[in-house]
Amino acid sequence: MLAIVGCSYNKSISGAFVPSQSALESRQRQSRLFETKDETALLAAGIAVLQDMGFVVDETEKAVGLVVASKDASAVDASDVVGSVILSMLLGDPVGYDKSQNIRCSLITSPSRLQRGGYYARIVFQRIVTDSEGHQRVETIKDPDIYADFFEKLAKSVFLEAHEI
Amino acid sequence: MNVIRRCALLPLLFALLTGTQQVFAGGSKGGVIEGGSQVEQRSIQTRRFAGTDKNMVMRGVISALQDLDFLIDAADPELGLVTATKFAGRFAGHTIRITVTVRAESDGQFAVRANARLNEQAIADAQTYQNFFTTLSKSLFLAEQEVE
Repeated sequence: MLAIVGCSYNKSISGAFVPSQSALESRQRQSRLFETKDETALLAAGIAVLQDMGFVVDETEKAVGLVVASKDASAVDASDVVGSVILSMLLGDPVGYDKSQNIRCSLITSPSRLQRGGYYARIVFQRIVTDSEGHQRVETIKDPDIYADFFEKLAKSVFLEAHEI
Repeated sequence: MNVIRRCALLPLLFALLTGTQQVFAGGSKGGVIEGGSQVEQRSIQTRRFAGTDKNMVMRGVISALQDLDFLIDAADPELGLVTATKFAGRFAGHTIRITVTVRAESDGQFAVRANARLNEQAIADAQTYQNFFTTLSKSLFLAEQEVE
């Protein structure tokens, strides 16, 4: 029995170290190329955007182009609350709705080899959501609009930082 | 009859006890000093890669971890160290943490060592590390070929 449990455990864990089929798509969604020769300025612009978004910077390592940031935020959505109330009444048991979330992100910059004077910026957002019943779930945020919005802000920030605005 | 049945259960109980002892080898000593053969462990967890410089290999490691949905927690270029976390399942509490070190070798290659844990348990499965290194070699190749 233990051997069977061990086999399935190894299989599922080793699977966690294989990129998913959508890895290339994720990489594209999470990355943008910036025409700049100054990696530090790009990182500083990224930190400024994260500050604009209410994040607190937890860790930085300039030499490998890393910024780690996080924030706690509300996860309450009015439609979720209404749905939860209706479901609770129908089922007779409390059904939770998303209440709070801890959002973490890591921003990485790396030099482009093809385009001299170009740097890639790549950001990944993850969140731990706690519902009104105290249950937690975790997820990597995949909404392309969130990433597009971040990079739009970053492009503006690179310009603002370059012009010291 | 009952005695025979009880005796038949003994090997099963023994197997369960041995198994649980292996899985739950906690306590102060078991918790701090764990793991099997040092040489075997290192050989499973280490691969050598060609690279132009340590910084580029480290960036390749970071990129590979991001491709695997890990969130980078910290990096130290001087020590050649990257630490990252991934949520293994949908529910909180199933967390994989990994430390990857990059060390320059005398022959110009780079030794990359990874060790990972799932919650309270060290991951010792060779295939898991092989999968990681396959992803890393692809990431280093992608960086070389500039496929973004």
